[in-house]
Amino acid sequence: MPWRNNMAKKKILIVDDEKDFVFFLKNNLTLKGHSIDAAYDGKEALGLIKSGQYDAVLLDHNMPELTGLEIVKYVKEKNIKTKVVMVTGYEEISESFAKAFGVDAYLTKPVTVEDVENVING
Amino acid sequence: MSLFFHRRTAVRFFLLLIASIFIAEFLIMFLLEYARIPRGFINNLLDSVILVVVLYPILYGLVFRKIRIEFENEIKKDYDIQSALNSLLRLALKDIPLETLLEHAVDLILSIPWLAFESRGGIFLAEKNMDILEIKAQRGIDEVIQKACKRRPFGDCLCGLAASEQKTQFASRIDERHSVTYKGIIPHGHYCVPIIFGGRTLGVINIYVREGHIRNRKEEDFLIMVANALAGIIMRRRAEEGLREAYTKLQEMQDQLIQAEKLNAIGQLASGVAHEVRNPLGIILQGVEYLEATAPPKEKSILEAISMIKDSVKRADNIVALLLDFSKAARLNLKTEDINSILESSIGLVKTKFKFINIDIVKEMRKDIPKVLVDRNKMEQVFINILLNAIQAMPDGGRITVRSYDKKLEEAKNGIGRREEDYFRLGERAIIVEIEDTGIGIPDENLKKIFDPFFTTKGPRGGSGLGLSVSRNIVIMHRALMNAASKAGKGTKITIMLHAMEE
Repeated sequence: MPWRNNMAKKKILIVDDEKDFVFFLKNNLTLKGHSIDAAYDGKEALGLIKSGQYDAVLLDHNMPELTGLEIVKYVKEKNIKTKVVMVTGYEEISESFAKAFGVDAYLTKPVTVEDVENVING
Repeated sequence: MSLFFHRRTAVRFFLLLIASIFIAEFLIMFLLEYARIPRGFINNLLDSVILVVVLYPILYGLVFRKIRIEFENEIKKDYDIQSALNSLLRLALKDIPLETLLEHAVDLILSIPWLAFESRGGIFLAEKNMDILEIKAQRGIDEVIQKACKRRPFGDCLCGLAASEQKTQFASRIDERHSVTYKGIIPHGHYCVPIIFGGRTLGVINIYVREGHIRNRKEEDFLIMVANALAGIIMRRRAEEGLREAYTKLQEMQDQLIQAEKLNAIGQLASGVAHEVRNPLGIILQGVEYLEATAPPKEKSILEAISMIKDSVKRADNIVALLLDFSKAARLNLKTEDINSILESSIGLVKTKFKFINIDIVKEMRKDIPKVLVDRNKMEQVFINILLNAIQAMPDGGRITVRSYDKKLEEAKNGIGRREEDYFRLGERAIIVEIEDTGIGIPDENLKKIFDPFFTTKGPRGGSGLGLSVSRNIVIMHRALMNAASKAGKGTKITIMLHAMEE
């Protein structure tokens, strides 16, 4: 099984075009012992999702190349087993809409590391 | 000139003329005979001259003087009528209530001395779109009759007949038409003159006359003239009233439109701002958490600073959330709820978050009232906002009364049963929530603005000025009403009216 057995330590992909946000979130999650990859646009994210096996993908919606929802659609079509968490600044798409698309959890910025961990472990 | 319309007067005048000529001729014959002037040209000439000289004073004494006096009297009467009508028209130009004007009209009618009226009379007006007469002004009418004649249908009694037949009703004594009667009624007669405009009876002038009075053309004409003048005055007043009403309606609608436009603009602005602000807020919060995680644990001041920054981020985020409520309020999660339970949980939430210093909460919530269809979270937000405002209005303590009850709407008011687009219909059952404080109150000039976005008196650190505005927006989304009443120094009452669910 590709799933990691350790509940606390996860392999996470952060997808967001806000580089500063990604920088801090990546560092904060790494400090908590998680292993983090980062992508700054949708295309890059797709490449990583195909090759790597992530416990969770943290997705922004508004991004160059591909939107967050398009990535969600791909993940669901390919039946890739990972938890999809939407992390957006403003709800361009509502929570219920995102969930209907298959998003597992929905967070709005600003988020704390605790929020993210709760959602990933939850 | 009406003098000669009376046949009797004309006959009298003719007889007097003949008598005068007869007397004059007799005198001349007597004189001529006495002077023994021979019959011939001079005799005939003298006859004519003396006839003219003698006849004129006789005629004047017997006929012309009387005619002149009668004419003068007629002119005086016409003058009285003219001046009475003038006074009435002048009164109509004054800004006085219609009923006061009608009272003056009754006084004017009764003030003319030569009219054989008793000093009693009144004016009735027809109720709007109904064939019912209502007494609006009166002088000297017994209270018993005032009560009996307070509201009378068309066709009933003399006034009703005048109204339904649109013809003057005259009675020289109480007859079978006079259906309103009572024990000990004083004998009298009536002129009842309808006030008509465009074929519709607006009212009736009712004047008392002595029993056995003979119908008089002059009197009747005068009353008809007054009635016609009143018809014009009443119609003008009604038109003005309608115009004023329409103007107020228009203004209300304009206010609502402006308010809606404002909210809409803020909603759009909010979406844009929220997006732009939340991303940097996200970075700040993550950055601060990074600093927190990597800072030396002994550096207390750094950790304190970090916690302050975190609080500020949270505050900024709250304001963004409030702003977003403008654009999000359309999305309601409606469920059947018990309003009292929402009120209880709101009070509970406020109690856990804020300290109550000398503040009592009195609950006057009626049990077993109908349920409401609302978004529970949103309504909680509304009540919490109101409760927080109430607490802030009472820095030295006081009492908050939370009341709920149901009511059948029977009176048309702003937003209730007046217009097509009003949220509430007459006869509908509504749930009313009142939250009343004994705080500092809101001065009149601010009361109008408290629902305006960004209006606040709490200063830059006090509030966003969005709480009540967002609350009202939420209430409006429920097609419900929210109003505020306040007295400076006494307190404020916020009333919310929701639709009750049918059982």
